[in-house]
Amino acid sequence: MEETLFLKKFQDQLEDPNVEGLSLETKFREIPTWDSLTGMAEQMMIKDEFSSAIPDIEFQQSITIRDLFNLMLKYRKQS
Amino acid sequence: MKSAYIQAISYYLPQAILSNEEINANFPDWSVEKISSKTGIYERRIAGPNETACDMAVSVSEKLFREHSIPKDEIDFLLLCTQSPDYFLPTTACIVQDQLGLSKNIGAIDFNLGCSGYIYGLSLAKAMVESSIAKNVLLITSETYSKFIHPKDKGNRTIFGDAASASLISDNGFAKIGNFIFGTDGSGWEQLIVRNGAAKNRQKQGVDLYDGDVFLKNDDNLFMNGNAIFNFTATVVPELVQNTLIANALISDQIDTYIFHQANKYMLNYIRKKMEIPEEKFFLYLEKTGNTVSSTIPIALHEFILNRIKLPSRVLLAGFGVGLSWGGTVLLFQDE
Repeated sequence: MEETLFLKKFQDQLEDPNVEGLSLETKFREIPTWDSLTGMAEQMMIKDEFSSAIPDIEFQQSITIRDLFNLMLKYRKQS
Repeated sequence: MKSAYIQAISYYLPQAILSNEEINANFPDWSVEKISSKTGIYERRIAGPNETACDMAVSVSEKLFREHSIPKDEIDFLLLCTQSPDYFLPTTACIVQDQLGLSKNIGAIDFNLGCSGYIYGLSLAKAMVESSIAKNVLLITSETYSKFIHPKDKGNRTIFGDAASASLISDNGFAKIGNFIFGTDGSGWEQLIVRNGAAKNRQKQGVDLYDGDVFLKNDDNLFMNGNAIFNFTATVVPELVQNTLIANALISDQIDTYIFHQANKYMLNYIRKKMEIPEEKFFLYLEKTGNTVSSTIPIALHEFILNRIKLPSRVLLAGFGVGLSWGGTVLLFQDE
């Protein structure tokens, strides 16, 4: 369920949220509209929506949306 | 008790245009369509090689006096917001006083702020008018960031434009200036900086740094950590707006229009959605100017007033950026 929510929130930040075939295995830098600004927005979304501050270096080293999901889990603040 | 008002606003854009087509010619991977869709900017103006912030301050002030029939001898204080002074000393505002032929019996000071500068300037002018220190404050914002930007810096060349604005703040006018909220976080000083040339690092001896083919920075030039600034903006601005509302005893439904510092369209829309501000209440104006630093808010305000059929009641202004510095206030257009 949380994977589905993460994917939905990720998709909402894209310049074209109707992009097809998006999954956690998608290499997000290959999304046609992806650029550095989108990356910043996604990193911010993860911080706001999941209370998880992913360090810049690890975000930049990520390849798939699942990589980001796993980092979200790793850095999520425990309440 | 006396209140302070914005009585008039004018703005000035330099003649030279840097178009998206020209940027694309220099950076072929950055298409014309992508530039405008991401940033909201189609063109930005660039000060002439010999045109300084002081020159633009003089030009815009003369335009203000002309457009609004303001006798210049009624100005009794001059505030100049700039991070591009003509000299380390003397104060550029003193030179502006002389070049405008203003009375010698006035105060004139520079203050060094960027994107939050207009908000801070309004607060200083308001304090002067309400305390009767001055009656007619000429508040100028004037910036030539283009002169700091490295020719290979794709991002900053795309975003920033040069401009100046002049506002007359007095005890009567079209918009009463409300209460203010300020914020400062100097730990972010390196996130938007021209590192070399001033007292700390006097010698200009920067070296071009690249990541592969991509230009990263040169310490003689403007550097902006885009990620850090985006993070800062998205974190600070929602709280700033909320606190500004509280300071003015208002709720968000009572605000007709929000005018934020016009950084870039993508980031502004991100914040707008995060704050759930309806699109029709969120005014954007940067297509033909780019990010003109401390001039973005007065330029947007000027355009908003010019093109709206119905005058608003309440406009919330929020400025945020280099420093890191932020501030907000509300303008009240009717008797409140």
